[in-house]
Amino acid sequence: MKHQHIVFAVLIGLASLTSCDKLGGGPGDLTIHFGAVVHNQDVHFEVDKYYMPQTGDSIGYSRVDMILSGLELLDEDGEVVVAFPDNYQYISLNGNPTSTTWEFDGVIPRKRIASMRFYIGPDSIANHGDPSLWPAGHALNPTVCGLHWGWAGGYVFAALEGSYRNDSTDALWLYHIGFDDNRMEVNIPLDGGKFDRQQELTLNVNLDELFQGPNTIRPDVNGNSSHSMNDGGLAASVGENLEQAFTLAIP
Amino acid sequence: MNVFRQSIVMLAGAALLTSCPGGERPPATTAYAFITPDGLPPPSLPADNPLTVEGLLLGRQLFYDPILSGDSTQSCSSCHDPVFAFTDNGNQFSEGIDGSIGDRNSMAVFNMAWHKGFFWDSRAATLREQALGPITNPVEMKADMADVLYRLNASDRYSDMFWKAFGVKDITENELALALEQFMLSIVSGKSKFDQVVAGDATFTDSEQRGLTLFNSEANPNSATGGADCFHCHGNALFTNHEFMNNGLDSVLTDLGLGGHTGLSHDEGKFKVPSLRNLAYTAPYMHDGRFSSLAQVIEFYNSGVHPSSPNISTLMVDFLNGGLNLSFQDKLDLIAFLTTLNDPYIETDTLYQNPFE
Repeated sequence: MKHQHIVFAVLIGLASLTSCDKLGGGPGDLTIHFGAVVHNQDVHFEVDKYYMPQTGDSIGYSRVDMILSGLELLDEDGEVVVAFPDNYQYISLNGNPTSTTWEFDGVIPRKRIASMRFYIGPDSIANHGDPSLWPAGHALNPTVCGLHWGWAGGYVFAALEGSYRNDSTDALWLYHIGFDDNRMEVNIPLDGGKFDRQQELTLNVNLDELFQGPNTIRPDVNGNSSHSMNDGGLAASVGENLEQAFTLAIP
Repeated sequence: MNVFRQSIVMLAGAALLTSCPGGERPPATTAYAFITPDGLPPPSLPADNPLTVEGLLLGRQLFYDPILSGDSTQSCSSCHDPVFAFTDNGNQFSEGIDGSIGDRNSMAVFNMAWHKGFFWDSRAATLREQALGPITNPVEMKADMADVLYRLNASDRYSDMFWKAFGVKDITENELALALEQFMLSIVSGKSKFDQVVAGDATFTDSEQRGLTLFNSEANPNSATGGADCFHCHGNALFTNHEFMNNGLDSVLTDLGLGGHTGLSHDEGKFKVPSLRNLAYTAPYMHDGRFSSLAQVIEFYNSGVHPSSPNISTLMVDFLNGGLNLSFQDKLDLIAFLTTLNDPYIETDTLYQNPFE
């Protein structure tokens, strides 16, 4: 009988150890999914063109690739609760294969989180480092992301491509945003502070925003191609739009 | 029976379950150290087919052995000769065992460890899947896989080699594919003059340096400083973006390429973007080998692209309508630079050579 008591006590102890995380002691996971939408509908890449009411252009999308970095979770005062400076993620919303998830395992502290902030494009040090040193499978390995801009000594932060049509033209567009000055910052409020440590979020990338705001972009007028050099600020304008294109999807 | 004897009986039973038929234990293999050349990013090698000396040597033997063809007259190397960077001896199309002629140019076999999607149309997702394709293709080696496996299993030499490499007595197409995959993964090209310059061990000539600048500069047909815009599809140290794209060869498609495999209209006309390494050995060029010289290829991009070609790559947007507007000297300099990507070691490295010679 005494032995039975001991075994029972050990089992209780083990159970308390393994359930510690759920009860509130340890850190939690975070998974962020990314999806492409236009006018709040899923995007049919390379198939459909979407009417932009502000300009009358119809825009099709074939490539939306990005390198994300520097995620920070912030409290209601805007103070950084936790930062992940070394976690980079390649996102490809229409790649082969696609890459649409950014994961953080067991690192979210038990604190009230009010918003998140991240960047499109790696920090300057990673941007100008030797790309051949990143291990297999790493987001910054050029074979993984296909976004290393060898000639410019850095990465393409966002490769955005597609086609467009208006009254006079049916053609292609391409905006490759790079260079340190064009690194984009994205801020996302998190549902009034309701954020626990086992989170799975989906962020929509509203691709219509690339052309509609805050800067109105018309490929036929503003230019249908930019590699972020000598473009009259076109890449920077598209980048400002991309910063604003992310919204938290409501389940 | 006491506890000790019970344990012995159970252990003996477990040993019987884990040993192979006949009680012979699979031999240990020797890990093969894949060396990534300086300047190339580390590849993602298949975790379920670790490279071993035994597997690689078996794969090489199979690659060069006509036993894999229907009438034992052709091997993989018949159309993938190391002297030509593992392409087909300068032929536009390859001839099968019965004289049938294919309709696509034999693809080079090097740096496969970095590739994704195989054949010109990506119809094989993995290298091991690709490896089996030509063996049974009716216009290539035209073999019946059951016959091939019968011949391999009947061979003492192959029985021994497969046993040592994979620990199997009954050779299946799975082990055949894994062995060929191992050999092809081991073929690495990273010792060109370009690589030596990057490493600081050589220098470009003025013409090569200017060609590099043109290669890495955006097209701008309205400017005297416009580049050749090669880097968009052939950038990075592997000189391919590993994508499938339509480069505007034809306004009317006669070969659907990737679209023929996926059935998707927006994939029609797309083909694998090849590496530009070893171009001196891999002529003729394009998926159908239509261009016999680099000069022809460059002139095509300079003035011959069909802007109306269905699903043409957005990466060519800057020169679709105006061409590249390259000068004669520009073209010469580009060729000079491309020549620095040739790696003579690929045709002489003893690891890659025919073991029957």
